[in-house]
Amino acid sequence: MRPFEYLAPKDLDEACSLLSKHRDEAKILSGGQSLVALLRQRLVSPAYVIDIRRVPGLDYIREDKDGLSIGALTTHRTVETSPAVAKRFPMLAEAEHRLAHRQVRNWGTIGGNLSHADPGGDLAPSLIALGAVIKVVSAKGKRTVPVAEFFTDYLVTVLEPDEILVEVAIPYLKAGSGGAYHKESIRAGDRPIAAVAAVVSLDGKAGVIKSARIALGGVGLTPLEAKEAGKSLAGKKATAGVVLEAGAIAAREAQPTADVEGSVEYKRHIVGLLTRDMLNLALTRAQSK
Amino acid sequence: MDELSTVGKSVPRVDGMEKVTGTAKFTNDFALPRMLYGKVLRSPYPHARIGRIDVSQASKLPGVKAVLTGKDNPEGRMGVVLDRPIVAEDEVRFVGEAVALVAAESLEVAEEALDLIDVEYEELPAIFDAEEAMKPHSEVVVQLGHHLLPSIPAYAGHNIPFATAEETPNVYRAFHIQEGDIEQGFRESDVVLENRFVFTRTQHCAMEPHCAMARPEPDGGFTVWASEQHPFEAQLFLSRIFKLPVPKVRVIAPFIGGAFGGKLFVMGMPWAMMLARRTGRPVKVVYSREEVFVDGYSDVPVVIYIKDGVKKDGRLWARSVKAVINCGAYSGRVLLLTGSMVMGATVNYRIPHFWWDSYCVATNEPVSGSFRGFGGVQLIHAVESQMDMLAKAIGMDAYKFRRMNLYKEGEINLLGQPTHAVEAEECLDKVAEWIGWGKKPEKREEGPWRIGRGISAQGKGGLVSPYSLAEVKVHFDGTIEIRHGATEVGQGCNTILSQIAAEEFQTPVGKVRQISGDTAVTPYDITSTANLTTFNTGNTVRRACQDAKRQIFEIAAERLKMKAEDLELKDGLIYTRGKTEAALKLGDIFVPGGGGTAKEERERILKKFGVDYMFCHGACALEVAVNTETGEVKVLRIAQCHDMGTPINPQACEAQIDSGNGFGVGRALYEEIVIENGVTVNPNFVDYKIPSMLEVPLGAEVSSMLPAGVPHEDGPYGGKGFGESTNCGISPAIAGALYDAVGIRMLDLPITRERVLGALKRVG
Ligand SMILES: Cc1cc2nc3c(=O)[nH]c(=O)nc-3n(C[C@H](O)[C@H](O)[C@H](O)COP(=O)(O)OP(=O)(O)OC[C@H]3O[C@@H](n4cnc5c(N)ncnc54)[C@H](O)[C@@H]3O)c2cc1C
Repeated sequence: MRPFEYLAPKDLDEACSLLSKHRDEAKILSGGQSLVALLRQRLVSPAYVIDIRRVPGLDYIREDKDGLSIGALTTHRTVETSPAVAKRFPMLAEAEHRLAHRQVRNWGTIGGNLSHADPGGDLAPSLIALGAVIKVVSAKGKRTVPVAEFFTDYLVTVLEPDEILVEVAIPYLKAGSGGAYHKESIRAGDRPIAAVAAVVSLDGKAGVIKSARIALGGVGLTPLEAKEAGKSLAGKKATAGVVLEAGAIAAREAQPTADVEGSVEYKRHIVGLLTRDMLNLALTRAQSK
Repeated sequence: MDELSTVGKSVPRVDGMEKVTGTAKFTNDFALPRMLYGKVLRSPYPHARIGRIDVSQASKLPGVKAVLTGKDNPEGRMGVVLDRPIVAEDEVRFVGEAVALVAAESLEVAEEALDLIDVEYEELPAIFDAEEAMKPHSEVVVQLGHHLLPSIPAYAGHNIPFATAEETPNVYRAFHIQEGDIEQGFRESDVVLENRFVFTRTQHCAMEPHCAMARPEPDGGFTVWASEQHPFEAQLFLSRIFKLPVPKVRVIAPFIGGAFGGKLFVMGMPWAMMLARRTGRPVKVVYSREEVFVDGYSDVPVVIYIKDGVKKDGRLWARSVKAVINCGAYSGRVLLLTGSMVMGATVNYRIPHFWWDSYCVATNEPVSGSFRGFGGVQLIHAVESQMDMLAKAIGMDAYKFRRMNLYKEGEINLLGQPTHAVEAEECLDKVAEWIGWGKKPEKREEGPWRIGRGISAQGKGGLVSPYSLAEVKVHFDGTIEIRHGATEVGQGCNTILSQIAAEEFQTPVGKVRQISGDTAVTPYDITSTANLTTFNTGNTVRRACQDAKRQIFEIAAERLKMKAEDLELKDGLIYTRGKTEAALKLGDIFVPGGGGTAKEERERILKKFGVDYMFCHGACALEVAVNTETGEVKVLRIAQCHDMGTPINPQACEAQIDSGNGFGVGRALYEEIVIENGVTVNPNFVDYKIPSMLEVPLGAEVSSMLPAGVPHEDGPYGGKGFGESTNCGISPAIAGALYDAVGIRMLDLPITRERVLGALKRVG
């Protein structure tokens, strides 16, 4: 670790002005679960570390009219155990439950998790499939970015050096919709071999899939949306064959590289299996709603 | 035997409170005034000639106090055959070898300085595969000849005279044992089965990384605090390396946060001492986790060829084994493995015709070291997998087949040693019964999951040694102080030794105080490895206590005008045999005028035992579920039973077995240091997969059993050691269970998901 200056702004305005002053020389610290590892390995060596944990008003889960809003400083553990999340988006609570271990979940925040942009992160696939958006502020103003467009490269996002992620907003699912997420990993809480989130909406009367979104984790430089796999389902009756075919398409859309978690072929194989299983679970949930 | 008061009881660990509350001191908890931080620059190449090293920029960095290279080396070298320079000199031989050292006022400055050292390398051809390296005409890595020391302990068997470097280059040491006529044995067998097993490299993953702090002393010597399993060996090596009289090096091993064979061989200490010598200030060197993986003397990659012959009626008839051991770039303790590994094939089963060859081969991989089981994990996996396959081939039950071939009390094993106090059959019976061998599993098979069971037996020997010394001091207030040279590496030896002293003095365990792990104040001990401490140090403490009591009784007898034989001790009081009222307090005999003071005497136990080894046997049975779509294997239930003579602390024994479960499951299913062209790819706990508690069965799904407890006639209270055996039988039982579940036989470790899936595809 290289020495740095530690700054602890009292509020969002001060945090923004510190960031606009130091820009590339600064790094935001939230839960520290990813940043500290990077510092220790000297993969990043900022001159300033700006600790935003004391910034008020960023730790909340709010049931708004159209959707659920989660503040950037909300910890994984809070999301995991939130009754509102369990009721509205069980897939998100399930994703949190298998994210690392409880010690990490007690510290790590959803803002830090998304900003860190690990392609194997457990939240991004579900948020992409659910059509969530990210709210960002800086000294210059605010903007909103769909999660599906947030990640640009390995550990890189659309965030400018002076911007802070402040909220994730997830629109509620319509009736006849359901979602599911699963990470297949060597050990519990590990990085994924592959992870798949699926969200489907049914056309109530016909038992036909109106639309489907499938997103993949751990099989590319960023979390990915398997767009073709999703499209292949639209307008079709939900048969075993259609679901299997979507799995095969998703496996082709994945862009894995070989590492200690698995070979390219194995990761694609797992994407296929998980897409099948998550679609089936999402369909069951959609039918029961 | 009379009823015992402390031995045989599950008393709580004597160091439990300190460790759980975080007050126990480990090496890295110590700091000294004016202490500097040492860091090591390591080679990025597996084999290269070192050209110019420019340290000028690094030396100029504020806070840097010394930058040293191989030119500053002390005279001596490291390694069993003294071949590893403290810092590389002309050549580097593995990725991670030390090339330069820095001492600085802070860790951050020391790390920064490493980046400023400029080293020119000229790459040389490198070799990583041990079987390749020992072929004629291989690139020579290690020049043999003058390195051969006759003093390497031979275990039982023979060192094969070395072939010339041209015939088998890079072979450090070869070892051979034979019995009967192997060719005849195979001819007479009804079924002959031959397989090749491959084992990759794994790490001990002790929670505490290697750590050493050296302080230069005014007399030219050093005091060294270190996470070191064998402080006396370290003292000897360091004195040789720095050409100092032995007592001028004082090695103190505080609490050790796990060792498992990985805390031997002066790791980190010579670097701290070189830097301390140059700067005249104390220096601390702490390995990062990455450094532990690349230069922490990990367990050794091995290839085992095994060929077995069996009679139709189930008698094991012939076995030949060839083991090729990848020693890495320099000689670590694995040189001894050529001999010690043989135990996994010689102490369990009766085999009339036997042949063993093992080779320790130098390569350009990191240096290999000793590991819990010392070769047992690999060899027992191969042997026990073969036992399953042989049983199948002759249509016998795997459990019955093993049981009928086990040695019985008194039989002479292939090492020429008698089988004694062994409860191998009972261990096997107990685990078979617990798992429900022969009955259907209770868990239902759902979806892609299939369930299977496996069983294994294992045996290991430990050298019985007369080289453990202990001193006992009886304090005025009745406190019994024992000074011994064994090290508390987490295995619980301080508790066991306290119990033994408490038993002898008939006093509560809390009245016993221990001083250990400091070469300046404790007597010598051969080492806390190889299941040895309970047996050797335990015996020694017991005898030292008996000698102290003898002296106390002599003084008391004179005072009381009685015979010493008529006196007894209990709770710090001296009684006349048969009387309920105490005659004297222990403290009374310290009072002048009463007959002198208790003499402190160093107990030298040099009487050789009737045997050279004691053996411990055990068995494992378990149940797995395997997912036929993903290849994932989950261990559902696990039972182990191990004999240990009289268990001195049953709960501690069970805990040793529990700990073996985690080790064994990790080795079987997950753990593997991945090295590509000499570079360690996964030197951290994200990429190197050790099982967490979620991957190992817990609670009611685990049974750690002890057999009835046949006392070992030479052990303290009939006890013996066994902690190293508990991780060896798990992988073959898992392999057997996989075969049971889905009909695939996995020979190599680890049994990863992808390997399972590949094998499933092959069987269709
Ligand atoms: C042992 C371990 C296991 C893990 N396993 C998993 C896992 O299974 N699945 C998973 O998804 N993750 C896992 N992680 C990663 C971890 O969950 C997240 O990356 C972590 O929670 C990030 O949140 P944080 O608050 O700790 O961020 P920090 O570490 O503080 O910051 C991470 C990065 O984001 C930036 N940042 C932080 N907050 C903001 C913000 N509000 N706006 C802009 N930039 C910001 C920081 O500058 C830094 O670059 C694991 C981590 C550990 C240590």
